Amino acid sequence: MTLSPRSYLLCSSLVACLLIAAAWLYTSLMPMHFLEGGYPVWAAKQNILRTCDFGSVLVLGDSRPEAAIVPSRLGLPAANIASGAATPIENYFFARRAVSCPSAPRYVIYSQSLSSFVSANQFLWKNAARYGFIAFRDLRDIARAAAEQHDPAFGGTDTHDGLSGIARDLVYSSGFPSIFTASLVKARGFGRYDANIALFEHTSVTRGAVTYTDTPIRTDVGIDAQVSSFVPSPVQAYYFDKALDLFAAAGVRVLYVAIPVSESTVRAMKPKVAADFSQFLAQHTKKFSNLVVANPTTAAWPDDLFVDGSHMNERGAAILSERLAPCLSQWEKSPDRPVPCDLAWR
Amino acid sequence: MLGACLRAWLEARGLLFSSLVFIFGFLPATLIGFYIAARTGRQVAAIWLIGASLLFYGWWNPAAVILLLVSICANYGVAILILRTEPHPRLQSWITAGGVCFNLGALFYYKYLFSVLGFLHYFFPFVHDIDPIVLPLGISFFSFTQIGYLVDCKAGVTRDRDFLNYMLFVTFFPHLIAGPILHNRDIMPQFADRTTYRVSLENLGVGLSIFVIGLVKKVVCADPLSSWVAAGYAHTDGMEWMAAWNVALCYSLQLYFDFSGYSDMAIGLARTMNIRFPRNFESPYKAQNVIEYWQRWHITLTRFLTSYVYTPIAMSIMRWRISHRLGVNRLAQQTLTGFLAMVATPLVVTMTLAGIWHGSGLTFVIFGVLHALYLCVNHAIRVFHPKPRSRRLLSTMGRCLLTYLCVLVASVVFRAPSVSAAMNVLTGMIGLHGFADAFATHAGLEHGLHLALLYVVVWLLPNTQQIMHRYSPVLGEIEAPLTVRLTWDRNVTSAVAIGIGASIGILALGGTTEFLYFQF
Repeated sequence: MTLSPRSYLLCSSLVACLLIAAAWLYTSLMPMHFLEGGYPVWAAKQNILRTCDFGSVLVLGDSRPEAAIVPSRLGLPAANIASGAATPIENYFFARRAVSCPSAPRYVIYSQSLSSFVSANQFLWKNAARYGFIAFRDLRDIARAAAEQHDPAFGGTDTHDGLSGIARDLVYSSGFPSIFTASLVKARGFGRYDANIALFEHTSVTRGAVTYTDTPIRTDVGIDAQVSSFVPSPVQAYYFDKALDLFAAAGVRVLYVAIPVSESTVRAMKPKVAADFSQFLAQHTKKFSNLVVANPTTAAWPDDLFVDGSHMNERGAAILSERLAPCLSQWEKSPDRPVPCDLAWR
Repeated sequence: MLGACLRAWLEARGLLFSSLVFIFGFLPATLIGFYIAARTGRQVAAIWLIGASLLFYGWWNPAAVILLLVSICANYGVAILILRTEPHPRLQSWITAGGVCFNLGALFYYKYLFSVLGFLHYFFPFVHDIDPIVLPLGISFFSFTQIGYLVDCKAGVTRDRDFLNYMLFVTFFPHLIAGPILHNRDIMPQFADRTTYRVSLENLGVGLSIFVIGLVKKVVCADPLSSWVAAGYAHTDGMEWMAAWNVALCYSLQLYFDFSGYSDMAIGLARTMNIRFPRNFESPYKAQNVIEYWQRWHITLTRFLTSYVYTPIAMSIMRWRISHRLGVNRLAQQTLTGFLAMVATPLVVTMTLAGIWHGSGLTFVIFGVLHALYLCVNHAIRVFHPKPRSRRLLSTMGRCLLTYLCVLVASVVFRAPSVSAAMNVLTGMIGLHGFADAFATHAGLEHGLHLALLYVVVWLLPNTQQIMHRYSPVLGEIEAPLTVRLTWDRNVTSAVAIGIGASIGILALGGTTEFLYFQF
C-alpha cells in the first residue's frame, strides 16, 4: 500500500522517535546493565557521599589516590571518593556535596596529580556528566567560570564527538542515548550487569577502595613525566580554591598528600615542573589556613609497587596507607600545625 | 530558549552532516526557513539558502567565509567579463586563463605551498620554508566548480548571469565542503526554475530517506573501522601478513562507506530542497576493470578531469599530430607511439593531477601515477587485444577481484602517512614480515565476520541509487537493480526501515568505540 508523502514522513518519524525514546528510557533506567566498569565505582562512591556515610576522613582526588589509599588502613573511619580522571573541577562538586551533609568530614585527604591541574579533560563529560553526577546547571557554571577566569582552552576540550559548548553540556547532562551507544555495543545491550553489581558492592564494602592489580600492565613512566611545564589552568585553580574555601567555611581540615610515584617517573619528571608545583601548593597553604601539605615533594617508590608509572598496586597501596595512618593520628592531635609526613621510601 | 539554542549552534564545532547539531539544529531550521521563504518567492528562498550555506561554511572558521565570498565575487566578475568579451576571442581566452589561474593559484597557496617550500628547503636550505597554512574547507571543490563555470562561459555552454543563481550554485551547502563537483548546466537551471522553491513533501521524504541511508553507511559501517586503520598505519614497521591485510581491507571499506555515505547524504539533502544532484558514487568495487572503476568512483571528479584536463590534452595532441601529418584514428592508436601519444600521455597527466588534487604529499603523486599505469594497461588491452568480455560468473568475479586488488594496493599508498609506511604494509601483505596468527581469537573472528558482512553489502546488495530508482534520486540513468525486493517505495515497510535506520544512525553518532578511563 503506497502511503501519501505526509503519511510516509509521519510513519518514519514516529518509528525513529519511538526507538530513540526507548533507548533513552533504557539508558536512563538501567545504567548498571551496560555501562563500563568506571560507572559502578563512581556510583558506589557517590552513594557514600549522598548518604553522608564517609566517616571522619574523606579522600578526594583522581585515580592516583583512588588506587593508593585504602580507607580501612588509615586508622580512622574514612571513605575514598577519589575517582579516575577527576580534576579539581569534579572534586569541587564532590566537596560541595560532602559539606552539605549534617556532619561534614573532619578531615579531607586531597591528592591530585599535577597534570590534572594543567588542563580540563574530556572525562568531565565522559565520566562525571555522562554518569549523571554533574548536572546541566553545574556544567554551565563551569563554562561561565572558565570564561570569567579567561581559560579559553576549556571550551576547546575535545570529547571526540563533534560537540562543544552548550550543545555538549545539554547532550551529556540529559543523557541523550547516543553517548551510550559504544557501551551498549560493547555490553551487547545488557551483559555487564553482574560484573557491575559486584564492583558496586565491593567498592561500597571497601568504602571506596579500588584495588589495582599487582601485575604490571605497562612499564612506561607516569603522566607527570609528560608535563613540560607546570602552568595551572585558570579554571582548575579556581575550583581548587573554591573547594578549599568550602572546606574552610565548614571547618574541615585539608591534608594535601602528593602520592608517591615510581622511581622511573621521578627520574623522567622535569625538576622545574616538580618545583613549580611545590611552590603552587606552598602558596595555597599561605592563602588557606585549613590546608596543610603533608609532603612538598613527590617521593619516588620502587617501580614494582606500581601497575604503571603512577598508580600503585595492592601492595603499594597497603604500604602507603599504613604510612599515612600515623601521619593522620598525629595531625589529629595537632590539627593547626603542619605535619611533615615522611613518605620517602624506606 | 531561542537564545540558548542559537548559542548552542554557534558554539558547536565542526558542523558535519553526521552530527547532532546538524541533524537536530541546522537542518530543520534550514528546511523550515526554506519552505517559509519559498512561499514568499524564489529570491527570498535563494537568499535564505545562501545565508544558511554561508553559516554552514563559517561554522568551522567564520573568517573563511570572507575567502569564499572573495572567490565567488572574483569568479563571477571574470565570468561577466568572459561573456562580454565574446566578440574578442583572444582577449576572452586571456581573461579565462586569468580566472583559471586565480583559482589554481589560491588552491596552490593554501594546499601545496607549504609542502613545496618544505621540499625545496630540504634540498636547498636558502629557500625559506613557512609555517603550515590552514587549509580552507572545501577549497578544492569550490575552486574546481568555479573553474568549470569559467571554461563553460568561454565555450558558450552556459549563459546564466544571474548572481543569485551563481552564488547558490557555488555555496549550496550539501556539496560545498566535499562535493559532488557540480556542473553548472546540471544545477543552475534547477536554481533558476521556480518550481524548485515549492514545498514538496515527496521530495522531502525521498531526500530524508537517502540521507538516512548515507548516515547509516557513514556512522555504522565506516566510522567503527577508523580505529583499526589509525592504529594500523601508526605502527607499520614489520607489519606481518594478517595485520597488513587487515589494515588494508579496513581502510578500503572505511573509504568506500565514508565516501558513499557522504555522497548519499549530500544527494539526500539536496533532494529535500527539490534539487537533484548528479551521480557521484555507483558501487565502484563492482567494477570489472579500472576504466569502469573510475566511471563509478567519484564520478563528478572523473567527469571534471575528463572534460577539462584529459580531453583538452588529448585534443591538443591530436591537433599536433594532424599538423605533423601523423595519424589520429584507431589504427594509429594501435601503434606504440600513437598509443603513447594519444592515450597514455593524457592519462598520465590527468591521473597524476588527480592524485595531487587529493593531497600534497608524495604518496598522493604515487597514487595518481599508479592509477595512470592501471588505466594505461587497461586501455592497451582494449586497443591491442580487444576481445568480447566473458559473461560467465567466475570470469566476472575474477575481473572484479583483480580490479579490486589493484585499487586496494593504490589505496594503501593513498592512506599511508609516508612512502615507507606504504611499503611496510604492502610488503607485509605479501608475507615478507611473517605470518603471525594475531587474529586467531574470538575478537579476531568477530572482526573478520564484520568485514565479511561489509563485503556482502559492497558486492551483493544494490546501491542507494538502485534502491531509490523509482524516484529518480539522481540526474541521469540508473542501472536497474537485480531484485525489486530491495527497492524503496513510499510504503509502510520502507517507512519503518528508514525510521529504524534513522534511529540507529542518530544513536551511533556518539561513536561505537568506548574511550575508557577506568583502571586504564
